[in-house]
Amino acid sequence: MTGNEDLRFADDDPEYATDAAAEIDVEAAALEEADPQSVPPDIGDSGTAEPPGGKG
Amino acid sequence: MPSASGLSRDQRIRCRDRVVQAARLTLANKAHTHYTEGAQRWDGVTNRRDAAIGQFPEYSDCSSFATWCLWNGLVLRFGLGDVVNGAGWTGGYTGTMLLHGLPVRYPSNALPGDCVIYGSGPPGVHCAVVVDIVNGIPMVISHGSEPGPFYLAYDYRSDVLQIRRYI
Repeated sequence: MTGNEDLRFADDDPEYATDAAAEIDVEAAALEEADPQSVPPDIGDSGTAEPPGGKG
Repeated sequence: MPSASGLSRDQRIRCRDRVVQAARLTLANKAHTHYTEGAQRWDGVTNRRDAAIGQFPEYSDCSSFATWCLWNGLVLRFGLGDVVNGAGWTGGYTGTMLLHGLPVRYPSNALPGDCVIYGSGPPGVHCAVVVDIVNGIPMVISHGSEPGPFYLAYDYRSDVLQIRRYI
């Protein structure tokens, strides 16, 4: 990965890195993984932080 | 270390649950949610779609979808300010997401509710929400086109720029 210029990482602190992951009670039902080859290319981000209604 | 959100450990657990719930609800209703980069993309937050009662955005793009998922936990559950884009929950994109939260150095440390941002460098070009970890691999829900969202391994694209934590 690139762009990690920040001096402070969330996982520098071992406790915050794992952050009680075993206790996170997300929905248990398995999801069906999509085939990346069959997924349409991502159009991309809007590229702007405009407020609602600011970009057509 | 203070968390990116300021929430306590127990609060973060509940917050992550709400974020994942929102992402999974939208995935389950992909036929009824649309991709747009237009003015309607902030529909989820603007119209206060609450995943806890089965509501999801009718329109969004990758960053407004990720922001709405986080908003469900950070705002609807805990009433926090905009720690994702720094725009009072009125706007944002991958560029502002890169300026907030904290980066996660190692993908193996990613947690549900973290976001993966893609691109060759700032401001990024795409993002997705981590919803679970399978065999050590962060899995994301990505809304990057009209047929989406999709459930994929975080590195389904080769241009992973950062994983960031806002919770």
